[in-house]
Amino acid sequence: MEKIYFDNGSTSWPKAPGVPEAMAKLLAQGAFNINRGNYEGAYEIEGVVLDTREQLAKLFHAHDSRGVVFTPNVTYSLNFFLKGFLHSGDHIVVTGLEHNAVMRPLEQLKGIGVSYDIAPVDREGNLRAEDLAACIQKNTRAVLVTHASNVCGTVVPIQEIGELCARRGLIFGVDTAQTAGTLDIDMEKWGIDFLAFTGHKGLLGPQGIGGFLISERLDKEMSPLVAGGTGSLSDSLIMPENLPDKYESGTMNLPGIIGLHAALSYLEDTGLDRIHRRKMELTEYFLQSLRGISGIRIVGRNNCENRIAVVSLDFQIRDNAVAAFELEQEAGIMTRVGLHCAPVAHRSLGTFPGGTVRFAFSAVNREEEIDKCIEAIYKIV
Amino acid sequence: MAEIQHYVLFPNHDNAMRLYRELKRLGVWAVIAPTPRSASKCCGVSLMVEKDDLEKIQETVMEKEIDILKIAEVEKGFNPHRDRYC
Repeated sequence: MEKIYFDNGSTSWPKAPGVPEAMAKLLAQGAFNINRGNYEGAYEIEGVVLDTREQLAKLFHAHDSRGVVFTPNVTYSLNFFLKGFLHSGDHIVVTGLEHNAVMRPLEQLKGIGVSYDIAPVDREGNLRAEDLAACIQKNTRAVLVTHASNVCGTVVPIQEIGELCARRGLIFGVDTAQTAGTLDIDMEKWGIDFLAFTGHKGLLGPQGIGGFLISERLDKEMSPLVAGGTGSLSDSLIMPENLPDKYESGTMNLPGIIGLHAALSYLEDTGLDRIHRRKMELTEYFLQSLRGISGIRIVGRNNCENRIAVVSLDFQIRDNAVAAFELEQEAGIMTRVGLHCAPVAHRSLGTFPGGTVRFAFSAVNREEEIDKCIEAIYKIV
Repeated sequence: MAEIQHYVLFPNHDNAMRLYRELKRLGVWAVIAPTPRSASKCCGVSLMVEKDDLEKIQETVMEKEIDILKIAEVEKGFNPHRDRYC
């Protein structure tokens, strides 16, 4: 049976052309350690790492590629921000679409006296900036929002929120887990101080590599969550203040960075617009094909306006997990079912605790695959 | 009189790579090398450069906002008084 991969919200597959080859070449021909090894092979890899920082700064319209920091994934990045910036007595505003990568650290931080409020969204996942503004308190220091819901795909108005943060003097953080590599994101224009990304979703790189981009003003106020060897200022027991060393202790995931470099090069050659357009064509085709099928509910927006290529369905007369199992068994369709590590979002969308079956398309999916999926959905409802 | 080699010292590798690239682009001779122990205890990398290029290098450092620690003069050859840390 042909397998159909619609779980690109969890991780993209296939990866960009050239990613496996670049990683294998590094591991086979000289995976030397940068910032430590003092020889030409290590310096060459350092050059590729610097190229990758510059690619990311360009992609996200950052002021300076020195503010590009690598971490294992977006969850680590968000923990760096929340735990490195917030202190006892501080307050932060998040949205009703957040992932547990934000909510669990915030729950931990409650223990040291950090508080938060959740700006409400409607049943389609739409957030109004004025509702977020109403959550701001005297001790609010930051606003952190997901750029788009990993459950229903609704896009958050980050430009408007960025302007709000600028007016109120608040640090502004954005989680781009679902949008990096698909939507154009402008750190400078939108006043983003902290941008968390992961390499293995829309950026089409390997798992295990992500990072963040940080503004100069936030860097001055943020402490490194992890301390250790950086290969610099080794005579000192104090963590260096220089970027990116301040946040990059320990040996880095070089195969991951090399793979991400290959993926970013592919995205540059292909163009984000083209990728996004293709994903939205498929999303529109899927949404149109769903019309007229009874027994399912599209969770979130039922059109392509203000959304990404993530669609959640609630099978109203079936257990969603059983529906996902049958789609895979009968038609080879791979989806993600459940709460998607986002119970707050599911509560907002009215799908807690039953969850949804999530379909997330890549630019290499085909209409014929969606036809097969629709046929399979007809059979199980 | 002993021959002198000039080294640009950095707080980290990232800044060294940035200056190295810029100097290559400008056609200025530079070689990445371990920082001589007699110049610093920091274990980092540095750039070996020519004395005649120092002015151009300083200009580039300013223009590109590259962080350097200093430009050190080190006698070529073995230094018996080097630091023995790390």
